[in-house]
Amino acid sequence: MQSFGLAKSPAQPRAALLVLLRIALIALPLFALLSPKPAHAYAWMIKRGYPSCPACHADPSGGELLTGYGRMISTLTLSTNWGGSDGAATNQHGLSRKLALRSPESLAAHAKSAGTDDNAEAAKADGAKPADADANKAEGEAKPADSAGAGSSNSDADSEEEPPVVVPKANKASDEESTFPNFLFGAFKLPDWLLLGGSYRHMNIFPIGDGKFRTFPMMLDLYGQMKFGGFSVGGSIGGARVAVGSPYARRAQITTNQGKEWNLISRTHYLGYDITPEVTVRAGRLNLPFGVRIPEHTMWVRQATNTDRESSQQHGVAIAYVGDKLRGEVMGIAGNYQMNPDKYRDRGYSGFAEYQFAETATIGVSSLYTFARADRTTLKDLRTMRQVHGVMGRAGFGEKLALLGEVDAIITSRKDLGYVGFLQLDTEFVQGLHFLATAETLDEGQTDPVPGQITPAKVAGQGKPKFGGWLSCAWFIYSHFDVRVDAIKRTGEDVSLLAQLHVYL
Amino acid sequence: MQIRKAQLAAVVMAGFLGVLSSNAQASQEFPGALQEAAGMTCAPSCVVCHGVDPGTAQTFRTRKLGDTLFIYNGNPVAPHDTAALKANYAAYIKSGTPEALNVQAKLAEGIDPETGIGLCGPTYGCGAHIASKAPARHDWSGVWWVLGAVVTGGLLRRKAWRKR
Repeated sequence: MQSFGLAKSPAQPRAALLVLLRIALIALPLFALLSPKPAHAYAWMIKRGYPSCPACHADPSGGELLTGYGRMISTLTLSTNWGGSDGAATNQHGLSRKLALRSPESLAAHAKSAGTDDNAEAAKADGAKPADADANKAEGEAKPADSAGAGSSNSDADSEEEPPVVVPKANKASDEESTFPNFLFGAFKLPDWLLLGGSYRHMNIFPIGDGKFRTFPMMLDLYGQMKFGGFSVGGSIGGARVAVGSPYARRAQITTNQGKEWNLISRTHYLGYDITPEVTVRAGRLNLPFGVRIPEHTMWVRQATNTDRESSQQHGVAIAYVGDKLRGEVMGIAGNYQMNPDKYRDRGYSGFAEYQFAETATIGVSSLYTFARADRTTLKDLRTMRQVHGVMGRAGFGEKLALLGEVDAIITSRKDLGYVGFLQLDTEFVQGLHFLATAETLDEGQTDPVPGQITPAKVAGQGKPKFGGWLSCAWFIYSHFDVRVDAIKRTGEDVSLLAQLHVYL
Repeated sequence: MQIRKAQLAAVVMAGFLGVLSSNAQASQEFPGALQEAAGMTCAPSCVVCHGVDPGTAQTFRTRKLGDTLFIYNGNPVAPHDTAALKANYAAYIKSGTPEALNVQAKLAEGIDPETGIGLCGPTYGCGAHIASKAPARHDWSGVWWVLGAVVTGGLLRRKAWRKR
């Protein structure tokens, strides 16, 4: 019989706290010195001049829950432009001006409640240009502490935007359409302090070789965030049903079914506080700040480093900084308290720093160090250390091409030095329609021989490199809807053909 | 008008993929199948056959049990073929060799017959742990608790309403 009570954490070792404090003592000054900045859900948005994440996402390092501004961007620049116009410059709802006025710098600092349509509507009611209203908001709220920052850039942009944009008369149809990107397809108008969202991802795996057709809900989550002044509370809740032994979803379980039953899961839940507009501290179960925040959770660079956003989140405390050119986040990892027993929990730190050296180009470093009292891969009670350190880069070439890459060294107890890397080219010749080509490689290192046992052979991925290639097509059909097809070939595996539908609320 | 077309396209695409959908499945079926076949209280870690967790197609025969069950009496286990795995396990145990009986006894205790290490790895969920015995097959206690709470709440509400 399984216990459904809350976890009784066995006297949460003082030692662990001390270690965390020590890490914090070293990491925080280093962090302050290096002054780091962002990670992304769609990291290729850099090509459109969005190098950072918090303007569009509640998570300062990107992913999942969208802000009002993020919803607007999703409609205007992420999804196919069915209006046939040239995108942001000609939107009929007054939204274009917001884009024009918000430089990426102002995006970086302005964040979490940006970009509701209220501003535009209020401005219309006042007879003013909605863009000006938005600019005022950006100046007034986004960077109160930085008069020479985004505010001034907005002012500059405003002065350069001549002649002033004439707001077209709103008609009934356009009013209806403008609310569609909002929560639940515009069914609800949320107050500024509340962000709500949800995602449904449905995966179909087509048979090639010996496989069989499989179809299953890959993601079924609701998420939200409430914000009161500088304080925020947020998280996600969802459902998952995976096979016994599946590496997916399990680590995010709240309910305790260990078999092939439905479980309630929570990938993230946290309390946060904006110390300044640029610095946010959060405590709870969080995405690990590491590497390029790509959505492909099975890509080796995320899976082998245990830094994907599928269920690799950990409990801990994170501090994020999003500045003009530098962004980053560092997290003290206290372990995943949705996994038992305690000996398998990883503790340590994870962090990244990224510097924007050109308008659409960044370079960054990531580092992760964790230790656990037992080895989860062999179930032996052997203290296990895991380190991953690497570099990453993102670059946009015009609005049609983006290049993302990351290489990491993997150091694990009782294994040789390993490595993992990926390089992804994203092309978008028609807005919203992406063709991606990705190459990846992985060698986690050969396991050290154990005295008295046969030396394990070098196999691809463990002692020898293995390679993978992805050809993908992602189509952001319209606000709230996208589909994606992937053909994946990896060393020693048949070709996988995946098709998925994503609907977000 | 243009946007209506977009909405239509989105709905058609959603419908198409929705029609293709049936129930949830994933590919890691073998631990569950072995748990069922061997009457274990937990799904064993991949370690029992692969030596590592997660196992891959390349590590399937690195351990004795995996190697034995992979092809037993000329009956191979294809990917996802849990029936073949169960059949091979049953045939192996039925052979009655001391080795097979040892495997049966150890697995029933949740122990790796080759190394003697516990096979019940981490458990998931808030406060989850491996119980000493398997749960009842049809445990309705959760449902009764919920029903009880609903009835109690209803009675309390009725009482409060009457007081008004």
